Amino acid sequence: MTDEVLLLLGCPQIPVQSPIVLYVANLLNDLGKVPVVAANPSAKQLIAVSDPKKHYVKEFQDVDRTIADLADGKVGYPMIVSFIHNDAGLTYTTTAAALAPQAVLITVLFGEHAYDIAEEIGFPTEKIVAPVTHNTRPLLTKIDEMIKWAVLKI
Amino acid sequence: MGCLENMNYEVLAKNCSFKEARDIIQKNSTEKYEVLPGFKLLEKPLMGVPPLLVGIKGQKLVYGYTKPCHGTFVVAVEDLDSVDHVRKNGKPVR
Repeated sequence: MTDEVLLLLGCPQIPVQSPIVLYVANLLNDLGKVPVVAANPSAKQLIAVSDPKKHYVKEFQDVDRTIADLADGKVGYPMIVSFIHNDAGLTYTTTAAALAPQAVLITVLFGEHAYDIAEEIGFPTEKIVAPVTHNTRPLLTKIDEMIKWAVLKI
Repeated sequence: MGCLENMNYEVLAKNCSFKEARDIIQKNSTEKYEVLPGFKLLEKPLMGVPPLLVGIKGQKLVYGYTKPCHGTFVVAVEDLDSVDHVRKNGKPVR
């Protein structure tokens, strides 16, 4: 089974997204996993510029290409971490959940509507929820616990 | 089939939620079909909460298209091959 873990990013308009993605990537690297970031061009650029030597993230994919590859069975991941703050993020994640039902799915929900979006989730997932936009702290402890748990599970 | 930009299409709604898109598809279609996420239309997989609704009105498909920063669009696009594909492979709903 692959060591790759898919990090599914939403629109980067909420400031906490990029640092949290790098934080999760760092945890995964320490646990012997390879984070693969699937993002649109703007979300990808923010991660790439924040990590110019690719210390945390070495692999990037276009998010729509990733969904297409999951649909075609060209790729598979044992674990997906999805970052959600709007309805579109929920739509992408719901699709990934349907296309990769065997994956351990962790959803990280943030932004003003985090709790409302979390209530709409109808697929099996472990949720990490905090309605934050700039303050990463409320998310970190649960991320530490959940990522370690998920890596042990896969 | 091909890129939406090269086809005869109309945007019925933009920047809406997935639930709003479903209602708009319902109201703007004479035939409705359910399909699963990943179902290909115009070479792109459909996204959303299963089952997804795809409508047909005349020779046009009516369906939702999601972008990360722009929410869900509902488009009506003329493509007879895709209309046939949905009729053959979708589950008809009232």
